[in-house]
Formats: sequence, C-alpha cells, structure tokens
Amino acid sequence: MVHRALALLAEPRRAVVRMHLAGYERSEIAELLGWSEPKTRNLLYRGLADLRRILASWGIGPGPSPARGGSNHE
Amino acid sequence: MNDERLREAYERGLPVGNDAPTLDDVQAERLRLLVEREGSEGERLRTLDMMLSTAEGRRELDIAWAAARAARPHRRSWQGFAVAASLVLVCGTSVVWMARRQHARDVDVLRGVESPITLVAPVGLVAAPRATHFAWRPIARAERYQLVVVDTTGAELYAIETRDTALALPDSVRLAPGRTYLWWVQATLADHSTVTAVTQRLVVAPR
Repeated sequence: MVHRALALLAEPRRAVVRMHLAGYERSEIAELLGWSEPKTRNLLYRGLADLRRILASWGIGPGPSPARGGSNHE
Repeated sequence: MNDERLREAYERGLPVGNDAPTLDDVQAERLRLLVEREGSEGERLRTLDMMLSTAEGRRELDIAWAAARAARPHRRSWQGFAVAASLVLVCGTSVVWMARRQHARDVDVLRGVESPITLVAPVGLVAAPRATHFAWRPIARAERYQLVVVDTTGAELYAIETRDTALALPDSVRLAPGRTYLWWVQATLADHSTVTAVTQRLVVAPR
C-alpha cells in the first residue's frame, strides 16, 4: 500500500520520500539530487504529509505508535 | 503511521528479483547521469524512482553512486566506500568462484565481507577512461598485492603482482564499453599468508 500511495505523490516529493524510506540521510538526498538542505527538508516534510494523507484516506491510520503521529518531521 | 512503520511497510512492499544486474545500456546511462548529476532534474528524478523501486535497483544505485563519489578527487568519502563495499555485488556464480580458486594458493584466505581490503575504484558503472585505473586501500603487513581482472565468463583479462595500491591496466588490455568485469585483490602478508578482497563489479559505461 505504501508503494501504491507513493506512486500518487508529485515527482520531487516522491523521490525524496522514497530515499528517506529507503534509509538515506537527508544530507545524502540533498547531495544526490543537487538540492539544498532546506529544499530537501521541505520536500520531505510535505511528501511525508501527502503520503500519510493518502494512506489515511484509504483507512490506514497512524495505528499504535509511541507518540502522536510519531514522525521525525512533524 | 510513524517513519519507522512507514519504512517497514516500504521494505515489505519492495519487489525483489534475482541477483543478476538487469540494467540495459539506456538505463545504465541514465544511472550514470543521475549519480554524476548531469541531465535534467526531471529525468534524474525518474531514474531515481526507477532505481529505488526494486532492491536490485537500489544496490545498483549505491554502487554507481559510490563510484561517482570516488571519481570526485576532493570530495572523497571513505565512509561512502565502506558502505559501497558492504553493498557490493558479491558475484557468487560458480564461474567467478572457480576463477578465484585458481588464484588462491594458500589456505589462509579470508573471503567475504570480513575482508580487510577495501577496493576503492573502479566500482560499478564507470566511464571508460577511469575504468582502467584500479585502486585499493593498503592493509597492515602486506608485502605485495595481486590484482586480478576477469570477465563475466571467468576468463582472466589481467593479473599482476605489485607493491603499490594503485595501477592502470596496460594499453594491451581493453575493456569494452557496456561490458561487465569483475576484479579483486589478494594481499600476501609478511608471514606468507594471504588475504583476499571481496570481488568488485565494474561496468564500463556505454559510449
């Protein structure tokens, strides 16, 4: 489901979220894509928000997690 | 869903195919453009999307990226090389294994990821001019090194002993664009034991 949801993201956000979920650091994402750290951070933040919104619309909610949302970016 | 759960779901849904490299020439060139940050951003984003959509693609990306970093003389990241080494395609085919066995003269040989020899370059997809320049990190007590280059059938293209940790292939050895080669280094230590590096894969970028 995550991959199906990813496919619905806008291209730059999809790329940065994919790399994030694959375990790359933000600095690595910025390096590979030639982006600044703030741009990378912004796209990642928005991309993850989009991803969660899509999953939530499919009934896949936050589920049990240690903190509300539990994200490093929210 | 927090990041950790998203990552778990992402990993679970990642298609895994066979271990053989599946890039055609066009894809290999797109990968080169991505890791060398050339071409349009849209094209590079699409390539990245394609590479990260499978486990094999991600491995190819890591290898090519490590090679690209190695080619940037003032921005070398040895940590990157270590990551690349851990992600390296260990060619477990019997052909390669047999080729290596022909060169293993002592029983005291280390193989696999524990090997202390880090092969630096060329790794992954490499432009033709750089593909013939081999480098590895020295290890303690090594008296000499043997470099071996084979093609994917296991046929030996070049083997030489040296005390250096870098050398270029002679002009008589030609690596064909678009072809894959395998190489490794075996160190002979002061006590005559040997240590062998993990096999590295080299793909000469198509013209």
